[in-house]
Amino acid sequence: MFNISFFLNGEEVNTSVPSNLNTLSFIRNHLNLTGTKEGCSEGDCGACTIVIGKVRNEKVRYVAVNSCLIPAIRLHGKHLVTIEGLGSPDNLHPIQQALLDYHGIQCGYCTPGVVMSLFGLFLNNKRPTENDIHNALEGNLCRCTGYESIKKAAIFIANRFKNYPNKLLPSYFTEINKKLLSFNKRILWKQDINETYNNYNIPKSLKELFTSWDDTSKYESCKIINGGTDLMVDINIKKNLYNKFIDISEIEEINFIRRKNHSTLIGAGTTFSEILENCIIKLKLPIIISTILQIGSQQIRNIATIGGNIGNASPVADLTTVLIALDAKLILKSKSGLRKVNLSDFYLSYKKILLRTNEIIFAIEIPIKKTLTSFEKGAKRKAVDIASVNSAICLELKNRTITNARIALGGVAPFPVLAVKASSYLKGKIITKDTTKKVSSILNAEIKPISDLRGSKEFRTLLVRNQITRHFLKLFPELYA
Amino acid sequence: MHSNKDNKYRETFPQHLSGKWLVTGKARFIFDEPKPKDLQFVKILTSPHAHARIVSIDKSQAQNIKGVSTVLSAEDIPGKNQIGVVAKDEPLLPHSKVNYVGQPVVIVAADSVAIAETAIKQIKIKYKLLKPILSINQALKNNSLLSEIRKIESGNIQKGFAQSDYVIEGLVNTCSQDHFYLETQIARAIPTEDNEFIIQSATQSPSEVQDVVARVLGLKNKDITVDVRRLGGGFGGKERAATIWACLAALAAYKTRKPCELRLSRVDDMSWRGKRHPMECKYKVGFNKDGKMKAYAIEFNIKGGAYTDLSLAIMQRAMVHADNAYFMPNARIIGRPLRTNFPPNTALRGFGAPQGIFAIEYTMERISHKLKIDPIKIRQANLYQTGQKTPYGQKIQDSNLSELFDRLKKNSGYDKLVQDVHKFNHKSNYIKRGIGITPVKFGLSFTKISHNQTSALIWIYEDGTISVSHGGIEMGQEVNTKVAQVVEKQFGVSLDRIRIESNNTRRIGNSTPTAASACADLNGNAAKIAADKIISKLKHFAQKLLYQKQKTKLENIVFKNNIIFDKQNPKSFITFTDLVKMAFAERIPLCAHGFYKTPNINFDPIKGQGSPFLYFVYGCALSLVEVDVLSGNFTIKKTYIVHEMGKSLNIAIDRGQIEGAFLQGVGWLTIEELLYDDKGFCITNTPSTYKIPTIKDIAQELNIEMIERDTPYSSVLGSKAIGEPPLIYGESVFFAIKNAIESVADYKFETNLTIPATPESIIMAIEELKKISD
Ligand SMILES: Cc1cc2nc3c(=O)[nH]c(=O)nc-3n(C[C@H](O)[C@H](O)[C@H](O)COP(=O)(O)OP(=O)(O)OC[C@H]3O[C@@H](n4cnc5c(N)ncnc54)[C@H](O)[C@@H]3O)c2cc1C
Ligand code: FES
Ligand code: FES
Repeated sequence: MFNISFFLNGEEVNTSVPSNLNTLSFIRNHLNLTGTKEGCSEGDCGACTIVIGKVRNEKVRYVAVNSCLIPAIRLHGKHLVTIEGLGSPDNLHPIQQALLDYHGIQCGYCTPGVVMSLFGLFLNNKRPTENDIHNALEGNLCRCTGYESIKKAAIFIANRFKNYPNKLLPSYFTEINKKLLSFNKRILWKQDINETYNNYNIPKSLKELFTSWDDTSKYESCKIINGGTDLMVDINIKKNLYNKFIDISEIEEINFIRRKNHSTLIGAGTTFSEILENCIIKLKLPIIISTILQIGSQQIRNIATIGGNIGNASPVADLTTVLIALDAKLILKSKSGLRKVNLSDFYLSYKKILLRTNEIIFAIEIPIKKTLTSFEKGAKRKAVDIASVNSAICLELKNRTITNARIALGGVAPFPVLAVKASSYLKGKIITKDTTKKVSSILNAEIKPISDLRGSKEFRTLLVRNQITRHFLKLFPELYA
Repeated sequence: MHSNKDNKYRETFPQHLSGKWLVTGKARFIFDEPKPKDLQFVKILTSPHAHARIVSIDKSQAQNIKGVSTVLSAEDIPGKNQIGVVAKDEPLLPHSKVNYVGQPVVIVAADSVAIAETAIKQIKIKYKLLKPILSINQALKNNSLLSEIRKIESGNIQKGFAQSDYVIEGLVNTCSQDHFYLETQIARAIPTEDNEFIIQSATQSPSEVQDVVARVLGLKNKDITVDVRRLGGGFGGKERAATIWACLAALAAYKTRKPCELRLSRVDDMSWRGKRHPMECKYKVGFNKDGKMKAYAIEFNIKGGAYTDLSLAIMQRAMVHADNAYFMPNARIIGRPLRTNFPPNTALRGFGAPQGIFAIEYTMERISHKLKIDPIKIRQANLYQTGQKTPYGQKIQDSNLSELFDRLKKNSGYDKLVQDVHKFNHKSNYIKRGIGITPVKFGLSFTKISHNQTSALIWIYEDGTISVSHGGIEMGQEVNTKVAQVVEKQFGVSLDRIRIESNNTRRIGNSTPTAASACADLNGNAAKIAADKIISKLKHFAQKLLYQKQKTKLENIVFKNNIIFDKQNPKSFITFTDLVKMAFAERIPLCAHGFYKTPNINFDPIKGQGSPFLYFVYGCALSLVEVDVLSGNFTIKKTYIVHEMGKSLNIAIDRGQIEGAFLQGVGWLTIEELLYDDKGFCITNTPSTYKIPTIKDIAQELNIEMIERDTPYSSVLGSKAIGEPPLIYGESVFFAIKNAIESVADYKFETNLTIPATPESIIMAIEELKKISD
């Protein structure tokens, strides 16, 4: 058991939790608050959405997240806002009132999650557009309403409160924020030393990380957990248990984005949402922004990290595919220091990566060059779906001649790959419709997709061809006019 | 700001009766009920095989685990090991043979979920594998049937074909669908005393649960009370398919004499349960140059599961919807219910009708293609006119389908829309647009005649507040709001005086399933009857009271705004509360039971003839989609729906039903793909692999025209049912996608787009078209 302290809605809670408990179960079974619902336990339905406030850079940042994907231990030092913390039946929160007024409730099972997602949206976005509303709600499945009425309610709130967003804050917010800012410094993790099973460590700095690793290297399946959006699904659904976790989500040293000479460095612990807000990325690497917007849902993007996307070694990790095309390098860190590897060399075979024991991905270095880039994701559903095939292309051009090309593909091999032959074919070529056709046929020979539940190999082969067409179509529309 | 319009909207269409509780997370679903200290958690060991003989079961190790209270299999069932209703062919726990992957074989009850899960792993079952039937073809070859074939025939089919200018035939396969209600299956059984059990079950059929639990436990129906407050969505998936879990929880409670809860995780729910029936539809149609159908023959090979479940009734509904909105002078409709080794396929919104309708709509597209006549014209040419008869012999009384089509054309600017699409497609290589049209004529009433009854119980308490119980289940369709509105209207009191009670078999016995869209019709009527009984007594009493002041005629007495008055002299009145108080003192009954049965319906399922429906719901839809030829994804640009609804009780609720059903229909035929491995195991058993529509999949523009009309062919207070019919509108999206794909080869060829129209199926269809047209 771990002793944790946090704020639950308007009150401070001091309690203890076992390390293998997720926040959803904790809220429902330990706090006995049953407003937060369980619909899937794998981050895909949004019924369990809560809002969490966390101190970063001396400010409290609130995000909507799937409580089923968050280890309860992580609540320590945070502000947990559940549906019970908004309105009550006699005194509804404006979001709740709007859902009621616009008949955005049918069976009501998805409703608390919808309310929390909208609350998360309005906390971060004072003037959300229709598109923002879609992004905020894409992770909340509703089987009853067809979403029309929910959307109307959201638009109503957006209009009604655009000049008074503070009116959406429950009265206790200001006070809790103050407490949270001082609270965080005061309390340290307390761990019950008797606990050996399911050990869980949350180091606050890299130094602490490497020391704790030293103590615990005897553990066989010690697992790094960051956002946990991949790992918690593993634990909840596949019931994969790990003996020991090292949770790196509190290490601020791996949460940064900065320019360095001709490249950009992104700390491995940076969440997708944080990347989306970053000015450097928006300006210099818009391809990353548009890719991330196609990953998961708002709740997932709020906790999933760039390092996790790479470390998970999924064959179709979206951002990883783009990063390979951008020729990103990984900076790996262990006690003995830093080393740099090409992301395209990082994967050895299915789920096997170049990482050594007691080493982490520290940062991702992305060269900034004048390039043309494009990313395509082929999935069954437009939002919150895993790709059958994804691909990214990055071209350097001099007039119409390609001086350098990188095509990366996901979903056609046991890990995301750089299509070496097709890429090198393009070098020195002049862009014509023919070149693009030729690239497709080279690619076709270069890949060996398999059939699985996300698509047959025939389909995947066609998708690759089509995505290449789409890349060139986007980058050189004049060719197809 | 709330505009006046908003306020009006709110006043006219009362909100969700428990909305305030749902939206704050205070409303309780079964899983939210406080857990008693001694609550036991039930976990199930299910069959990993689609078909196998059980050789031996070893429960000993599991039984010895600390915290395990009981481990149960077939031999432990005290009553009959039989949960079938339509056919008595389904054991609760199989004794000797498993018939589908996911079939419960042994259950464990323990102090915690974790202990129960550990115990499950310690149970050893030996199986001897048998050959399973896993496809329609295999079932046909083995003549594996759930019952005999059913037929509906009218006219002379051979003559019809002979007289036709053209005859085409073909085959189309509709796909399955998971319910994906947000609340997974759950039941809690609580022993009380004297062999009495209370079952809280997320079921659409409380009386069935009561009956079957009693049977399984060897008790009587009086010993079992089923109580249901609300469901987190049902969609038919809790009509029959909830019974088994309630029985297992009850069995555990019977053995342990402790409260037992059984809840399925999402993965288990999706892996173990039956779903929408896939149907292989073999059609043959004869028609003339003008597009008018002369003859239609259709054969439905229906993929049922391992047990009968509701397959026969679903087949029946597919068959009586095989005509959809079209007159067929000569028809032959055949249904063949196949038994396979899958979980028992079951009810899902539409109950077979969507499949039956899909086949004829598909046929319409084929006729249109053959004759090169606009698909809307073909449809219009065949629409039912009042007075015509359906193949099963029911007379169409009040069809307004032609008017609805006119509205649809007008609303969508049809001719221009078609032109624009052609222009667009001419210029655009990689994005193609298409239009699809689907009307609906949906029959209301259960085809099983005995299901068309229910009752309601009303108590007015001394303080003037009202308790209403009825036989329906609240599962998001807001039957409670509607029933409350009926009661509100009858008594002329404000809604806040009315409480709709949970559905409880002690208050309402012998209720029929909440299904067939009929719940508000049936229970609204029953509540109205009960209310009217009380009112007739109260009116006499009120007349006496008002008479003391001046002469009052009985028919002039009005119940409105919480007061009772003479409409000739509204100034003198009695408040409802006072009236009730005085009535109590005078010993006037403040309680009544209302019984309702649907009048004028009959049907002979063997002959396939009769008038099974009280009335029809009519409507039509048009969708404009954009298909990305490179990715196979599509976008719904616009959907127009024209829906006729009688006198709606609550337009906001009805609109919500249309919006939700439409999207569920879209999902069924497009992105919701269920895949099974070669052993019969569902591999798309999570929301990460089975994709229902999100907010990003809705139509960019959804234009719904709701047409109110006064018609005797309707139900409570002139309203019409709403739950299922609009699901059919989703089919327009499929046909729009098909239309867009065919533009790739300039509409010269028809595409064999497989269903559901996933990106894979769309890309493959486009490839094929390109190949033939090259
Ligand atoms: C509903 C849902 C939708 C999703 N949609 C998408 C999608 O559309 N596209 C997509 O690409 N992914 C998707 N994912 C997967 C996942 O969200 C991403 O891969 C995410 O980037 C993982 O980050 P994380 O921090 O949550 O990883 P975690 O779960 O914390 O870790 C994942 C793996 O990486 C390792 N790891 C994490 N950080 C480090 C580090 N710094 N150094 C070394 N190893 C590390 C962990 O040990 C673990 O093996 C989805 C997941 C869910 C639940
Ligand atoms: S329970 Fe479905 S997202 Fe958490
Ligand atoms: S209201 Fe039922 S799932 Fe959304």
